[in-house]
Amino acid sequence: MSLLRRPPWNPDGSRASQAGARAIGLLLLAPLGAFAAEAALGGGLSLSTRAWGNTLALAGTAALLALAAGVPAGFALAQARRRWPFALTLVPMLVPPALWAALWMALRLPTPGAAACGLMLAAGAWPVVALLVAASLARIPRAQIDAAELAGGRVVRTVAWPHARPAALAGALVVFLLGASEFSVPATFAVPTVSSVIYEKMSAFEFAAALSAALPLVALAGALAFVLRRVPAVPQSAPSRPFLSGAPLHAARAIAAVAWLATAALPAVVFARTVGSVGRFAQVVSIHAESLAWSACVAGAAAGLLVAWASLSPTRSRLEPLWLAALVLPGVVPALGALTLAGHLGVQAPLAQSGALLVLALMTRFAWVAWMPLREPVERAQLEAAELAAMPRARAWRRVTLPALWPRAAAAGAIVFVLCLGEIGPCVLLGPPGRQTAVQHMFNWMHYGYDETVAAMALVLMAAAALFSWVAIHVGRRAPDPVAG
Amino acid sequence: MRHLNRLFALCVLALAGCSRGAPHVVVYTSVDEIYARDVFEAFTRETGVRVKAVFDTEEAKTLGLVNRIVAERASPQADVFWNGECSRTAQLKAIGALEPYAPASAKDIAAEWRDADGAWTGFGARARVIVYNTKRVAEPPKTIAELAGPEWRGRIAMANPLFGTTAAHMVALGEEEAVKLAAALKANGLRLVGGNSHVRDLVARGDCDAGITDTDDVWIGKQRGDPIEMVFPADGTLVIPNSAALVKGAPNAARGRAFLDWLLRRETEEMLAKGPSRQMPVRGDALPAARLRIDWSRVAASEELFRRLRSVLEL
Repeated sequence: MSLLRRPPWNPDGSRASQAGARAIGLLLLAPLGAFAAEAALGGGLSLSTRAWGNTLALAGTAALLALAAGVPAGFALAQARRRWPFALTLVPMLVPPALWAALWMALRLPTPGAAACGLMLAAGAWPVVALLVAASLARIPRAQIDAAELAGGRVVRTVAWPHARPAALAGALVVFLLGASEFSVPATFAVPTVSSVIYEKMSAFEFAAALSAALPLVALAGALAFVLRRVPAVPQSAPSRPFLSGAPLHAARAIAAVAWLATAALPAVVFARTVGSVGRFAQVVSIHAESLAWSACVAGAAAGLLVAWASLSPTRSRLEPLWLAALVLPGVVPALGALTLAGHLGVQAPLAQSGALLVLALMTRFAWVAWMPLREPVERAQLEAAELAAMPRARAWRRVTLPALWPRAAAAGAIVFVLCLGEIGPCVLLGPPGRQTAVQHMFNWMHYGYDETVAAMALVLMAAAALFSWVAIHVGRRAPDPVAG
Repeated sequence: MRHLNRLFALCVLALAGCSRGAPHVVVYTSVDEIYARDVFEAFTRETGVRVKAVFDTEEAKTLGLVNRIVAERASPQADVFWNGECSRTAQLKAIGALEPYAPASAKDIAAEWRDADGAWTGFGARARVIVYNTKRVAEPPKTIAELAGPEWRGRIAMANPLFGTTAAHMVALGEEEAVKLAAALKANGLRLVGGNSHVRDLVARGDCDAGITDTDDVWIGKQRGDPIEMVFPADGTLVIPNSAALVKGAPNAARGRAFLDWLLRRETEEMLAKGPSRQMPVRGDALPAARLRIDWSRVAASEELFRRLRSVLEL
């Protein structure tokens, strides 16, 4: 194939892998399709303006607060030379939003409205913005930083911020959409949102009404994904270098530290105090060892399979808006779709005792999260150089694409793993009889108060998130040597 | 890439290898895990049959299991549905997802607690009660209507009436009465929360002085030392039995029937009565006399009531 005819982001040049990735991507949308088909046959549409108002207030507040904490934290992370700050940044994402609601009540704060619910969601969502901004800043060519410093030293204003702005915006929009689909916090305080309307309608088997309530959300997600497809990706051509120092660096680190202390360290300390002793902690962990292992198995399978799929053909795809739509719908939607689909295909019975349907639903839900970091990992010029050097296709993939793909795959895998660990809705609908994930156990126990069992489980999940993230980052940094010369 | 492939293969094998062949019965239950687990273990001890349970969670608001049973109708995976209330069970009956079965062990349960067609049987009940803080309330309210009085202004809490037992309570009151009560409570500074356990927690902490909740939530609070007590409303108490049913097309129907026989016997009711939630046996005279009557099949069909409640309570 000539260079001119080759698609720019087809690193291994294989049409088969592109077609395979597209086919799997379509398969991942099948549960959503099944749900939509079920809804289309049901009839009955409804929209709630009050629920929409609350949803916009809640998600908007969450996005703004995530920006306020996430952008400085991202700048601070981009200057970090060690790996552990990245791993620790993921930890707040695994504090279930319902625990923030519990903390709110324990502090005897007034009944929150939609905006205050947004504050609770931002507590777990700011790392999304921080990590995206940090990843974007890591791609600034060293030469640009040098040039900006030589020209007067305003690196942040002239180079870094313009570079990070699309990532910050994308992060804020992702937080907005995640906030709009959140159920547990607004439900705790009886704040009606689109998500609660979807639950209410699905509970009454009114799937069409549920879908109609979700449609604007889906449309918003589609529009966002469309915009994101137009944002040029800037592959990392050479290692960047720190560019912040003095007061700005101290300020960024201080904001990051405050955000992390408030949303990760504080809950961890509260949980540790609630558990009371190492012995009690060990006891709870041993009692729930099976569910912890099951959680790890399911989350690991979903994360591993998604990363493998996204690595097949790391290009841009027209299906991205649909994958993002799957992310912003409540988790029960793809789960119900997967169940319906399995019923139509007659594979429900053979799959019921495995976690295959559960893994499929989780993959549907988080396909976008795995796909986005992996697309377009290398510059076209590098591929062309490899081809001009008559490098065999497999070798070019191994020596050019893989080094760029590897760290991103590790990061994407870690994020998907952490998100899967925290999912509940799909586990209730698709979990094999006799098995529960750790988060299901935790939520069941939360009904009786936030006792040492809940606290110990939350601590284990937070530790698992930090450990897995650290390992993923460690693995990611041990990438194969890039092509020389 | 080779390592990744091996990892995926291992994951797939691990997932596929999760099925086991020991004799078992599959029970889908919305009953809280902490109560149901003891019952399942007792059944396994006595019969040698393992119970594979699927639990709902508070977060899913009973949406999970009922929708799962509906979606699995073509190829049912559950043998028994054990529900903490009756409206969703009645809903399943209405769409033909249940198999009529009248356990011999439940013959002494009054007709009031059984489905007329034998699709489900009620047992071990909870009730809707007024919970109050014993440190802050000297003279507890006797009726729910009293909570709309000026002396309780800004001091009361209730769960979202669109879900769960609160929804059933509203239906039992009747549409006009329920909307009138909701409007009066709202005007009196009602604090609406997501669930009945939150109502109890607000009252226990003194953030509210009284609220409407379920007996099991109060008992759990009392056991952990919360300063709360409860009153069975004199203007009518809604009693909410558990309900148990055989799923139509159950893959282990014989073991499902055996489980129902065991679950619905007097001894199991007594076991639940001694458990942490102190569920009241429907056999005997433990239930409050002034009871609200309810047609459980009407709860899910009360769309107009819920629309009006949504409007009145700004939900």
